[in-house]
Amino acid sequence: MAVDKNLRILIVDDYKTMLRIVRNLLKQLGFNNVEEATDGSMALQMCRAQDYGLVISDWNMEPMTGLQFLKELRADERLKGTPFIMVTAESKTENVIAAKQAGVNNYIVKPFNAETLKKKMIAVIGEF
Amino acid sequence: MGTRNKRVDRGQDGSTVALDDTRSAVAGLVDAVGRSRKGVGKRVQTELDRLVDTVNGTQQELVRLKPEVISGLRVVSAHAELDAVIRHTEQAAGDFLQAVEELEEIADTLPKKKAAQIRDITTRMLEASTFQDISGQRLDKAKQEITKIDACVAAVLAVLGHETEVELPEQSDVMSDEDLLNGPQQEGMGSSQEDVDALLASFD
Repeated sequence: MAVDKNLRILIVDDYKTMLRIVRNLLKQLGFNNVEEATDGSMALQMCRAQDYGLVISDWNMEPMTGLQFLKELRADERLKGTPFIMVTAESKTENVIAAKQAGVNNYIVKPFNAETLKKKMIAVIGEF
Repeated sequence: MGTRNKRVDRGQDGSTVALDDTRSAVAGLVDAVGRSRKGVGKRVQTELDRLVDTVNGTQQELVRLKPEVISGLRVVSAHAELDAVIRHTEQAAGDFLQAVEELEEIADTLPKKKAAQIRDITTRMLEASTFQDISGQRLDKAKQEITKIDACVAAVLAVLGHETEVELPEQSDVMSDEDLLNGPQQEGMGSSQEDVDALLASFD
């Protein structure tokens, strides 16, 4: 069964430009129910307030990084199953390992293209 | 030995001995050796004299570099320049994305084939726009490196006897979350998307 395009998606990045780019790419894929946060702590508050079908997050943010946000999500009994894709310029092997060990569902290295975003989303939430 | 005892706050190698102390210690040793057995003492004394000259020469070189100017003026200026670049590229990227969004709206009004062509173009424009995020992160990294250089300069100032509040970070063997904040890598370094996919697959 194809994914509901009304799926609520949370995108997290401290660069407003990147939020706008990802929002537009998601819109092209048919996903318009998109909300934004500018760092991990804001995103965590939003996740605790309502359910999201997918989180797409940057890593390098303050005061809470994407990795810390992911760990907090996975430590929360109610939120631990939230699909999470890290989209980041952090490309060292130890970063990927740390994210995987923290429970990331997929990992996109910046700069990325629309096709990669689509593929990784399908791998995490299913065909659409 | 020395009458002054100014200390470096923290050196890169952990040393806490100031230049004046070093000079005083060497001078004291020269004096002690000079009063000892003449033959060996004379050779050692010559070498120690050379060491004192080297230390004095190094201090003069450091003073000539005008570290207080580097720290007080050039670093501040470099930070301001980098901040300006980040601001201006963010503004330009915003204007660019506005144009992309307007094109997308126009595409919605066009026949299917033309709309698809426009969307293909706007997708490429969106992908290219990620430059601003990457360049912003590289510039932030450059600012951090400049701050580290500034801390080293402050350490030099302390050795020369100037007051400073800047502390150098301690080295640690344990990797923390902070150590994972490396930012974008140079061309050819870091992992490609294929490398990342292969690494993730290896966990399954």
